Amino acid sequence: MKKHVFLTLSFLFAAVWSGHAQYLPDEEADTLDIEDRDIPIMTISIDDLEAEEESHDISSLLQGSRDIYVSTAGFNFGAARYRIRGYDSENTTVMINSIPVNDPETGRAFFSVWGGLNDVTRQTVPVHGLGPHRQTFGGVGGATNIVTRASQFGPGTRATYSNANRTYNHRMMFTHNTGMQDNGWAFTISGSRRSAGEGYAPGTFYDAWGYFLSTEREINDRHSIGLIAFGSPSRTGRPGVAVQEAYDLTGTNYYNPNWGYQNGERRNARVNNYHNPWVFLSHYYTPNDQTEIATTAAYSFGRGGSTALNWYDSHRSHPHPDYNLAGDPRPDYYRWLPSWHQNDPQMYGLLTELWETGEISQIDWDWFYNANRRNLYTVNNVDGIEGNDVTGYRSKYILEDRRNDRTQLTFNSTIEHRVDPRHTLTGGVNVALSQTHQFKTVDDLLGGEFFYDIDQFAERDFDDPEMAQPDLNNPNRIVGEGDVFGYDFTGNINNYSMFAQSEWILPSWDFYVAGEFSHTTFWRTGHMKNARFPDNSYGDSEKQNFTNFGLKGGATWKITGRHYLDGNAAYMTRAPYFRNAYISSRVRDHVIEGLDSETIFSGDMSYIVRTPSIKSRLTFFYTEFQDQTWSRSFYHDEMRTFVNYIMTDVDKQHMGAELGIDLSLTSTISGYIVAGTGNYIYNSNPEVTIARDNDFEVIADGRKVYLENYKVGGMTHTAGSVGLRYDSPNYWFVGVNANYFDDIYIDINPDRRTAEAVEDLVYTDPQWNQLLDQEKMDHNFTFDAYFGRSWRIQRQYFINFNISVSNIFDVQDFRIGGFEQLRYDSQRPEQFASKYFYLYGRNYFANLVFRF
Amino acid sequence: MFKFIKRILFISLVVPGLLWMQGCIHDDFDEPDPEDIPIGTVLTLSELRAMDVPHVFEGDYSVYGTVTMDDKSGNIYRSAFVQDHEAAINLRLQAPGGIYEGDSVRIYLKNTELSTYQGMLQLDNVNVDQNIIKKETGVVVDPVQVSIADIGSDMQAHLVKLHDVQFVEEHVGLYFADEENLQALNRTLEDCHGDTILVRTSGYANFASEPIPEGNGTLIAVVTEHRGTMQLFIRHFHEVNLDGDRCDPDDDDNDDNGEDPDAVTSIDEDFQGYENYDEITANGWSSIAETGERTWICRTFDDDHFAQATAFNSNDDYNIMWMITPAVDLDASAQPVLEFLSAQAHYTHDGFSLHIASDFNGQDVQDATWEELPATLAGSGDGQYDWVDSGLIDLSGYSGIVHIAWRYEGSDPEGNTGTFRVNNVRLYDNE
Repeated sequence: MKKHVFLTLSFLFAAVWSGHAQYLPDEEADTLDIEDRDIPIMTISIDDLEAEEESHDISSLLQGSRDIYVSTAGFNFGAARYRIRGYDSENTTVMINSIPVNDPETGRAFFSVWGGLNDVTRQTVPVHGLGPHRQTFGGVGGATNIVTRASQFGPGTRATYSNANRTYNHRMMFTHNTGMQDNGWAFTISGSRRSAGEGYAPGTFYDAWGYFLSTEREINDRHSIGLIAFGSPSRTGRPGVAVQEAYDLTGTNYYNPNWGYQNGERRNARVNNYHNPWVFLSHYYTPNDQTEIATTAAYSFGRGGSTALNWYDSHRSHPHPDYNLAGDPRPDYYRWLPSWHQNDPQMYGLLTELWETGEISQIDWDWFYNANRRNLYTVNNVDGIEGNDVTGYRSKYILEDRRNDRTQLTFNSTIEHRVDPRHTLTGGVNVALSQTHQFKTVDDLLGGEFFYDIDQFAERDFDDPEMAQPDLNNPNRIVGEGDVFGYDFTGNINNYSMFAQSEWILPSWDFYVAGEFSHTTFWRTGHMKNARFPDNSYGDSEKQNFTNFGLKGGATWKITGRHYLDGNAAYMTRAPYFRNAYISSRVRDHVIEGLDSETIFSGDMSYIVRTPSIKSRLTFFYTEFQDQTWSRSFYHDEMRTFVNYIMTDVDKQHMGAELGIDLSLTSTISGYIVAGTGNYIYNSNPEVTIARDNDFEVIADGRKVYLENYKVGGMTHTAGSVGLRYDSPNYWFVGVNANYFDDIYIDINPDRRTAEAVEDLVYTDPQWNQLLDQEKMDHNFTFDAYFGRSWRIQRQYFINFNISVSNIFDVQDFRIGGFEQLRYDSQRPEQFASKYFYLYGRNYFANLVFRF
Repeated sequence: MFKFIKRILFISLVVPGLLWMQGCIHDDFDEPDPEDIPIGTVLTLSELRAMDVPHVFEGDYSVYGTVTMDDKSGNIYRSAFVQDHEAAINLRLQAPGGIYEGDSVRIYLKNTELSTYQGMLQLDNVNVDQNIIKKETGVVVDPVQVSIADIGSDMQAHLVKLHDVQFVEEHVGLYFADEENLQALNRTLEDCHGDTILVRTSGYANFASEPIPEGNGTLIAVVTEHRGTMQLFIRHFHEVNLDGDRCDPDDDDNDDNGEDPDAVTSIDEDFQGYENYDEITANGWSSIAETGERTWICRTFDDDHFAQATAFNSNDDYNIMWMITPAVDLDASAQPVLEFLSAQAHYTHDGFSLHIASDFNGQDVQDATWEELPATLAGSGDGQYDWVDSGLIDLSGYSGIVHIAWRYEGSDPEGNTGTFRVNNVRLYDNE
């Protein structure tokens, strides 16, 4: 019934409104131009800057756009955490061969899915912001489809070697395309390898492969079928983020607390390990010259996760006679910093010295091995069997692998029908069934013989030792390397959606209108019976159902062939993400109170000028996100337990302007001016629920968080860039650009903006403003340059070389973001200082391509 | 075909390249060789206890013993008790946990410190990862059977079992400790001869909120000493077996009312007689830690000596400390008044107060009835270290033998670490 209503509605709209042309010209830029422009973009992976616990990787901007604002934002601004319109990646639908590949659990698009496959992900159909898209409805950030059909690649072979000092040092890529051959077959294969012994940040490494196979068989004029398979296995050591004190003590703003020496070699404790292959089976059907139907069944599987230290009764210390601190094995734990000992000059001095000499600033792996090898322990009644006592060396310190294994089955079909030359109808259905299996395994026992799987926080909080059992079905478990422990559950998310769009291209007006209707069901399946929540942890939970819709439309007034006015508006609702829906999905299936869809509305207006010498666009946009959910789990040091901090009804307002001017000054000299500014603020005072992870207790309920008018932190709000480029007729080019960044705000801790946080203070106390003010980072300039040259040999071989150097003047004190710690002391806010990200200093990327 | 061969050749360039890239990644780590901790000179616990204190161990020394009590129950914190065939000792750990009851261990003494704290001998600064080598687990140490009268300083840290004991009637039904406020409490255990001993329980103990049982029976505990008072720490609640019939101890020596011959009639204390870090315990004054181990101590600045209390950098989860005057006979004055100076620094909280009691027995601060006295005390509005005059505090509403006390309450983990100071205490007749 619902579907019926939707279909009727959407076609009604389609009939009333239709049509729109992309304001971006379709002309093919020359190969050289694409070559050098997309090289920097494809190397930017912001994953190394991302340190929030939950997210391992965020999507890179896709290359291929010819909008100067968008490409500059990606290339020059991306490294400074600039995001177009301030949107997170869940607002942009990323598709590969028309299949959305955003992670269903979080909505985010992860670059790691196709990392390294630059040669075959270069052809994209992007829509930035609002606009018509023929494969999907998209988000307010737009949608991008990466075209991977073998028949769409021109024949040729391409080999690339790249050298850089960024997250990786070396990259090799090899790609061969046959194009559509006379026998009706087309093949594309591509492989890549990226590696670094140590990347830009100390203690990081990079070990990644990529493979891609696409084949297409043209059965006849009307039917083709295609098979595509690809994956990007990657293992990378994570950089860290720290308080300024740690940066100052170690003398570098790239200090990384994640690594330490083991046997004299640098080992990183936080290793991301992802491999999520996709397989597509597609049918391309052209029933008549006006209609195209593409249908794909896709399957994705594999693993994801990252390692981290885990410990029980840690006594990590330092063998100095005056050093009497022991505990948390992470070197930058706040109690190991000199500032914690301000009133003890002796300890302050000793810690300062030990930090500055590097003796306690990194992980001490050898310590873990030694301690584990001495920790003889007896576990009684192993596996719940009376008298089954096991004695051995119990690991106090282990490396655990926090897994996030996603399996997804997608069915997608889109239709495009040209009713007449001025009117195109598109539509599609999508069914995505996904399961995200989340659990922990023991990655390395670090010299011990087993790990005892009990919840140490529950053990401390409850007198009854039974309460510390993560799984009552398998009590008193001892686990070895590879064994699952701690938590184990599956997030099941089923999404059914359909969209329809109508575009009309009239002599001086283009219109479009589109609608989407979707239904989302998710539930949790627990594989462990947690002792604290025996009735709410094992088996299937109640299903959560959400029905959502979206509408958008827009028009372009083609004033003259050179001046355009373009406007768009969208209204949509979005189901909450599984990741935010549960109070503590690891151990129980309680959803947060008031779980509901969020509402988004957005509009933009652009003025576009296209002359032979100037291509420019000026856009104003306004977007509101309403009723979002914000949820974090963190270890509460005072309560000595994990708490879940959940805000509902979080509203945000994003408004701003974008300007891009592309200038052709002479036949050889070109330039650009780009600026983007935004005001991204919280627009409501949400209520928060703080729940103990350990039991049903809600610590605080209905506490109001005064978020309104605080800036959305963690990203640069304003950026500008100017560039000049010289293209020699002799097949070389050189360019420089200057970038400016401003309005960078710290990501705030909401709990500091509550009445409870300041209740012991009066307005005149210095702590008052320290707690409430939002730090703004300094503005900064950076300069980049690039050079390229190409050669043609024997009329059939091509060699391209190019190099780009970013941040030429090696600015190493440019804070591109940061966040307030969730722990704070209202009397001494400086005690738990914010943590900061810094822009990489001077870095380069060089590329040598051989084509034939 | 030629094209094919060319591509093969091309790929043959790629393979060595890939191998070279592989070579620069270090992702497979050898386990470090086991660290050998030398045994060095072996001491028995008796030999260890006989050493002069304080003593920081620098060379290679080891002692052997078995853990009789760990801190998992919460009754002790960052602490464990170890015993061999003749002696026992209290270990103070750098961090909680890590060493468990029944562990038979070698303790490598390097960097540890033998010291006394309030009369209790302890091995301090023990790092479990670094100083403890576990040899065996699940070793059972039988407690020594003793009577209350046997328990003296020579029994420090021993695991003991008492027979035919019961809690005094006024404590029956009360809780072992104040779990709500996480405060330790003392309860008095008696035997049928009328001998008594304190049972001290932390507010963090997992049995803190259990009621004191009524009956008579056996109890297993570890012996500690605090400022000359012997105390017992229960390690497991199930080792308190008091369900028999109560006995009626002969009550003949429990008369502690009446005149205190040591009572003073006036006070004039400027603390100049104390050295930096001395506890305020001379001339009949006492410093008592009700919770935690910190006490009021003397600190100096330039030539000024004064009493100070702070929880800053305390190893305790919570600190309540009392500084108490000698017994004062107010009846000797017609118009008794009190005056003193106080100061604060690094203000975090109002943890400082002034009290008076007429029933303080000189030891058990919790058992006395303390009434708060109004006074002008240094607080958040005052400058750091600025002395604030209390004003004249009229004590004429009180009579007989009283004690005046300054109470400090704070907690380092909770951030309540403000410092308070007291100086120039004068109690005199203002007639």
